[in-house]
Amino acid sequence: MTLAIATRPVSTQAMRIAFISACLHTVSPAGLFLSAPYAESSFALVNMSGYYLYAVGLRAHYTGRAKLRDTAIVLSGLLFGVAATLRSNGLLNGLIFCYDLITCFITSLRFGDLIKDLRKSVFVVIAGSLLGIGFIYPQYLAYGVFCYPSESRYQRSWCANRVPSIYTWVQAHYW
Amino acid sequence: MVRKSGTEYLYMGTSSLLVTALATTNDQEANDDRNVGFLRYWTLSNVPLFLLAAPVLYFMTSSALWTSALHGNVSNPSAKDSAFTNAEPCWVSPIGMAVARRLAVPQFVLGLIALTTYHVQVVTRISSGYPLWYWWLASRIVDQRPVRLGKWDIPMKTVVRWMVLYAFIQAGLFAAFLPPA
Repeated sequence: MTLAIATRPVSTQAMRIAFISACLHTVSPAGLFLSAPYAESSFALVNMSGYYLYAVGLRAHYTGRAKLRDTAIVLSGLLFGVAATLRSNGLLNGLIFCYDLITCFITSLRFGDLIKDLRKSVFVVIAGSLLGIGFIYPQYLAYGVFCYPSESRYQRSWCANRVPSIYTWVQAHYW
Repeated sequence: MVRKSGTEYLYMGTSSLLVTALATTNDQEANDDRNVGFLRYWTLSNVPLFLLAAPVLYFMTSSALWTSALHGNVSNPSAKDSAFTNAEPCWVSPIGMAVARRLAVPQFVLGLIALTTYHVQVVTRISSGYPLWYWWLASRIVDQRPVRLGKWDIPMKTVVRWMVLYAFIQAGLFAAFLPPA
């Protein structure tokens, strides 16, 4: 993935940096959590794959290949959605898409090429929505399980919150 | 380029505030129970945990700021993907610099939120999924430049040794159900 942002043709320095980065990840301070069956390693895999596809997409944007850009960005949004399902801090990757939308908006205001920018923005919005779905889906499931009272279950206290999120409540109550 | 990094800082700041505001819960009793909430974790007894998390937070913010110092000419998309011909040949292509700048945003915001709202030691765990600070460390290793911390120069050997050691220490503490998890 490092090579995706490196120069072309790939210098030996870039290959060394790619190798060293991979080694650093292996000995990362989260050591135990990467080896044990926690979500960290899967999150790292999906997150980095998402970043890789995003880098491919951005490179395709600057070399003018629109279809590759669009598919790569939507796929990266899908992967970020999976990452957000695995760990909720994956939601922050949506900021990348927001950054894109803002810069797109600013450049289209300046240079006025609205149609092309609109098309690009549509795909960025699709990607961001996939990410948001990945974040909201587990909470939606939890809401369905815990917030509809029946004879055997009572409604939980967090169901009446402004944003009925099980994540924030679990963080606050059990952590 | 300077203007671009200015807007980037503004963007980072506002987005982190927004995310922090959304991340806090309504339930005040639950919040008081477990010390999660804006700045609630900043008690005196939690200082050692902040010290444990400090290196990783420093790496994450430094690497995020590193991206804004990368030079290049991204606004000219017809320029070929080649190293910019300046004093120091950079291994990152101009487009790669744009990618790196974007990747800096979630990492920086994560560090900020972890510092203010989460149990901060968790950042050593969750930072493993974000590649930017690995690149920053790797490029310093390859250039053989130490990490500067005010007056002190911390050689990269020490940094890597700390990473390995902390992985083991964290494993032991977590197995004993102690806080740094």
